[in-house]
Amino acid sequence: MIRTQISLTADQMRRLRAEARRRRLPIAQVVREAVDRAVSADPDEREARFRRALSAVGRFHSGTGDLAARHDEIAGESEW
Amino acid sequence: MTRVFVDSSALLALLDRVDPRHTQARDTFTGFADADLVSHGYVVAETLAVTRRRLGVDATIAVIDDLLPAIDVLPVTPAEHATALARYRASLPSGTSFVDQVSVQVIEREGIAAAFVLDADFAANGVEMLPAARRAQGRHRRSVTDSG
Repeated sequence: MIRTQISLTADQMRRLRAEARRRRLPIAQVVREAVDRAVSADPDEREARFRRALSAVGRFHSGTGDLAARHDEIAGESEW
Repeated sequence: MTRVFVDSSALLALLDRVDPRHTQARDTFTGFADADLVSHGYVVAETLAVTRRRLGVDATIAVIDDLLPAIDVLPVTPAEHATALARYRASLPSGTSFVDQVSVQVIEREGIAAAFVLDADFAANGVEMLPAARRAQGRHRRSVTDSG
């Protein structure tokens, strides 16, 4: 983590505190999530992550094809 | 940038090439290259449990190493957990799963407008379900937001 200092308006601080209180999170966590939403990851890194996710698509074979439709029931049979 | 919520059913249909909706899931997912994909830890736990049970260790590792890095796993607050649990309890014995109840909490909190879901029982008010054609192939739907 990198420590930094920022200035907010009184209204922004009020809304930030209210959101942190509502979600029972530290203010810093709410700020970090807001930054992630506002500032996208590096485009190359993002594209690489997506390409890697695509590489997993269709790579496996259940033999039954019912995992998506019956995942609630199958989860109940599984080790967590 | 569009934010899309990702459900266990979608991840499982992506992995399993013999799932009857695999092609539809793959085609939908391919269109998400510029979207922000989000989910939460309960979906991750459910997906890992089912994958390990039915697709094996290699597939479980693929979920962890390949699929999950493309998805932003959001926290679930204690209040959201408690609300989802109360709604789940109220919907018993035949209601929506606890994980889906948590998903609705996260979707509402984040103001997410689209969900990648192949579970015919999942619905959230005001949220576009992708792929859209799933409704015609699925079982009867019910709204989880109206259940508690």
